[in-house]
Amino acid sequence: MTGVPLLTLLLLCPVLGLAAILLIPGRYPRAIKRAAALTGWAACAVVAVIYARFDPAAAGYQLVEHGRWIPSVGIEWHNGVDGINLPLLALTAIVFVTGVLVMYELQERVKEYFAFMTLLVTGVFGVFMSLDLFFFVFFYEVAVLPMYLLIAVWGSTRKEYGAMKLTLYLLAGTALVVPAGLAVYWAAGLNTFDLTRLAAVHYGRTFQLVVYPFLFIGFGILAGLWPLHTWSPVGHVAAPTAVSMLHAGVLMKLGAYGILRIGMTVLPEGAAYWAHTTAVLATINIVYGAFVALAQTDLKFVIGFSSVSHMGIVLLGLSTRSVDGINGAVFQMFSHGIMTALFFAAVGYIYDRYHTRDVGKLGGLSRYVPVASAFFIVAALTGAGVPGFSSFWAELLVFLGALKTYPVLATIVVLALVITLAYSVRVIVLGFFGGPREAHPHVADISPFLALPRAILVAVLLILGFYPRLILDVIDPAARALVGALS
Amino acid sequence: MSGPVLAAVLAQAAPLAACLTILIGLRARPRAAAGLATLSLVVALGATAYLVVVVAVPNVHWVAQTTWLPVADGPALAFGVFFDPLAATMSFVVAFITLAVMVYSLGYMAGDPGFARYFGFLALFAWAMLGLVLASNLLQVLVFWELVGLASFLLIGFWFEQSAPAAAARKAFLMTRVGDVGFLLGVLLLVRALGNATISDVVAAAGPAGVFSPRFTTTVALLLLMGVIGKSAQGPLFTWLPDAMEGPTPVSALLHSATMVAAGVFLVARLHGFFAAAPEVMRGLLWLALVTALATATMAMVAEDIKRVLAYSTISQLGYMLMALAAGSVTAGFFHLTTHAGFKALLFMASGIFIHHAHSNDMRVIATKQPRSQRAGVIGLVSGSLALAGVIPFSGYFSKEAVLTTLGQHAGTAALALAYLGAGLTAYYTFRMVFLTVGQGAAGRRAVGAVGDAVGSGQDHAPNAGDRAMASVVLVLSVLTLVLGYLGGWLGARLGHEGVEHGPFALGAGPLVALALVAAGIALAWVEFGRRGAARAGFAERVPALRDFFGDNWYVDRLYGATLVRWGTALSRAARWHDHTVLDGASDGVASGAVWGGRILARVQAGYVQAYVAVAISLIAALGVWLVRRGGLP
Amino acid sequence: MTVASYLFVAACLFGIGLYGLLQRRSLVAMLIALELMLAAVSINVVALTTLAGRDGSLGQVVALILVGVAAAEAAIALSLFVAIHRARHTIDVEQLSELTG
Repeated sequence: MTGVPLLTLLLLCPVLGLAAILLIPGRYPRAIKRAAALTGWAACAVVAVIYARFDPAAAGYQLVEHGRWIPSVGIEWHNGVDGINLPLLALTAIVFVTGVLVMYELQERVKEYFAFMTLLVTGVFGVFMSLDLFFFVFFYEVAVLPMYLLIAVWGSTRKEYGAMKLTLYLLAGTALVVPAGLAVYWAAGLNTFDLTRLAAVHYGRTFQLVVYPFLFIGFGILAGLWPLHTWSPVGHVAAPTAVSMLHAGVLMKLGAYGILRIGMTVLPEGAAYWAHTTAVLATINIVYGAFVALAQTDLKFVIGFSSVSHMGIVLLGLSTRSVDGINGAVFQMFSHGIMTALFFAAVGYIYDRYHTRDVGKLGGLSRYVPVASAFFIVAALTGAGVPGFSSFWAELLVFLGALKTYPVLATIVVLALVITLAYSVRVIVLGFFGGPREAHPHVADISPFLALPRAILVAVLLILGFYPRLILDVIDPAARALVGALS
Repeated sequence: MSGPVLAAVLAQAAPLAACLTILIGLRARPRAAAGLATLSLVVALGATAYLVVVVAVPNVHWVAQTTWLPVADGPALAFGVFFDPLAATMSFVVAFITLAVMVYSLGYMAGDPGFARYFGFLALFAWAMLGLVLASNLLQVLVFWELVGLASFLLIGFWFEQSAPAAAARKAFLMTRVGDVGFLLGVLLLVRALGNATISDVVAAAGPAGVFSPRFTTTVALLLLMGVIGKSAQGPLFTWLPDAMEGPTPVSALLHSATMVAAGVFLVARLHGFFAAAPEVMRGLLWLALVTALATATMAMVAEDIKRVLAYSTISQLGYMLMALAAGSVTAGFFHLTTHAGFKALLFMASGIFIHHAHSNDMRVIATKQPRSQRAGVIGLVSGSLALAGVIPFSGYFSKEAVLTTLGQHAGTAALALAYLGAGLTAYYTFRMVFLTVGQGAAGRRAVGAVGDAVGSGQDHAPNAGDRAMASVVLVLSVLTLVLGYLGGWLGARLGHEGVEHGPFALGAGPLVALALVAAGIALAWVEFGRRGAARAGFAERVPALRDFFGDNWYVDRLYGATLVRWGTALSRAARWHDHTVLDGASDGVASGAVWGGRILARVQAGYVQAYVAVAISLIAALGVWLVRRGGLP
Repeated sequence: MTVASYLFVAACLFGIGLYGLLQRRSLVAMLIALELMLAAVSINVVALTTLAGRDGSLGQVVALILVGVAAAEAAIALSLFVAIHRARHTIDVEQLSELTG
């Protein structure tokens, strides 16, 4: 389809936003915030146009863009959308714009903050749309590195430790991915980094069995794979609100997306061989994350471990290598992204006003700030898999897929739903019901302007909760094609 | 969309629209919220009444579906509406009781700051319950099943600022989820096996011509029953229901007696063909329900809180319904469900009048606050109790008779005898409640003494509109307890299963024994509580060991606290320790190790020039020697 | 006199110089030892260029250049030592070891 290269245009939105923010002098913070918000809305608009132009029934990638970059080595500017990365692009746009709106009260170093944030989002968009292995890893790094500064400067609890730990773990992941990627490049012998062509090559069995774990673990670190997940709760707790939203909501999905798009598509035999191991690890994620969340007293730690648990569901869905599992995994990536963004946004407001996240000190918040509390409660119920919200359908599909291939693991995971509800209801009751544990300062309920981004996230959860086909009709054909190619 | 399908959709859509509107926009306008919710239920009632009239032929059902979820093998999962006379009648019962409770709540909840939120949640419940009843697909049933659980959580914890309702809401949600997990597994297995979970397909597949093996059917039946046990508070999962009484009384009347907890019974009735293919499971259910019914009857005998008596009674009666279904009669079980919905809601709402007036749930305190002045309450309490105890000609008699007859035909003598015992106990504890509350005239009040007198004696005020709302609902339902009994035959004809065996006034041996036991129970209650100069202490209450055992849920909660709760907490603490000390320790250890190794290596760079020179010279010398031996550069 | 004897003398000189470079603590003494090593190299160059029919004049030219280099190097080194002494009041190399890891 000729005409405007929509994907590059999407990528340009945060790039131009970054340029604008850098040009605006630092003494006009409101202008900077407006520029950032405008960038976010622009990105959403472009995604909407892409969505409208997208035809779920057509096979293969759409809106494909080709451009020369370094032909001698085989690096191209190559982007495309299919049913799997389109929802993720939409997720990024939504979380970006709501994240900007959530940080509208930031006072400290506004220019630098929004500059890094738009840089981060550029990286994320780039990863999701890229079909070239080089650019995939390149944009991956662009997304990871600003995290260090964003957390270390604007964060809270143990921010230097959290920032360093997060960055080192994620770079360790890259250190596993890059050699594996290069190995694939040389083994294919085509002098190209084009993922579609690399995926078409049939690699030797031993090669696949050895290289796939590097890709899986390397990307899995970003996805919060057990036991390499401990950077995640600490990092989320340390990060400022919108950074947590982007991080847990979007960045962790980069890892799962990498496993799907590079690991499973390029090395299908390796994925098949290691599938049982990865399914077991994913199950541990789910159960372990839930149990640890049950013992936490800091609201953000609960959310952090709940993210570890929910990403386990994504990884389990990918491990089943079935249509239901992949449908569920991609849907869960989207749904969990929105849900966890809402979670962090809700906690962010409470922390801003009460200066504590400890459930031992909070209590009875529903009485004092009912609307702000309602946002948290909605997020908690979504996480617990209550129908009416989108996560229910996503988890259901993963369970369905898992039941066929790994019945024992699937049963364990379904039983773990009790623990998931336990920790969700525990924080609701401890933090929001009952009477206040300590004298609370008088805090006004959330203003309509600040409630808007959170309400947008709730609306997305509800709409997909009532009518999941809105997103599944897009994902399903791509998932079926993927599974067909895997076997 | 044909008429009945449209009616079924409308019955769900109206409360849903009301719920969303209220919760999003009308929080600050309580009167508008209440009006909107009530109006939506009037619409639902009309729609369900239409369904009852139109869907009259037994064993024929209407289905309309649309694909909802793409699934790997087989056709995509379809959701829609499915109704036959059973579903139509149940939906009418739900709509009717919900509307009655809403009207009652206009009086009971007047002045509460969360008035609008309350009606929003009630509308949510109505939508979810009607959706459950009219669902075409078992997965859809599960969705609404969980949603009624959510509504229950929100409504039990309605007065969330206090810790007891919050804790009760949490307990209810968690315990029912334990059951729901089994339900989910069962449904997943069905979808895996059939590619779909449409109710008619599932029932057909389990039948003699179907594709399921008996072992598969038994496994799935057990899993589905876990959900029933949780939702209907039977067996090991019963203790959430007495605690759920922390919620407002109208909520107890609606959810935790008449409708939500009856969803389990409805499910068994709905899937009767399926469960019939797993007879061992049904036998197990029968005995589980029987034991639950008797155990909770003993608990009701010593309870001091009027709502708790009614809660235990609900569990007990649900047991009877499930026994009838397990023994094979859908008509008997469903008939009892219907009459029970009527008289139990009535009993709760009548007790609510007393609670409202006396500002206490304690029966002995209510007795001191001139309970007989609440005439509607007295009428409601007495007629509801007569129905519950099973006194002819009230509705409960007929439905209980149907249950007992079914048991006599299919369940064996032991079960039947125990069921009769339960009927006697029911009459006893019911009239213990009546006599304790309204039994004593002025003399009794003086005899009871200063219990609670000092605590704000309920001021008598002229009955206002709220009181009139409550009274009128109670009176309407009281009349129904006299009328509903005659529905048995009509119901049987509609449902197409074997109807209620004998006519309303046929008195064979069975009914006579039952009536005698009931009379004995009432008499004992009168002797102990009702007559002038009675000691007002029951035979069970006199034995402290029994009183404590019966009064503390047979120590089941203590058992759970000492085992499951303790283990769960220990596991979570162990996981947290592991994460913090082992995993974090390992990664922090790697980091310190790297720093330590770096420091050691850094010692090579001592800043000591001569050391550098020495190393450089020796390396060059070695290189030179090596080159010479090799005979030159390569 | 064979070339070997010149090489032997140069080797001895180099060894003495190396020993002095490594063993002496004073910077000036290290410089002297370094000069010795440089002298040994000069002798080697001169001797080896007379081998096997070569002219030997190239070696002598190199030796002369080395003398100039040594002089320049000594000048710079001694200026550095003076500056160090002004800053640290010592030219003991064991106390001048801040550029550590």
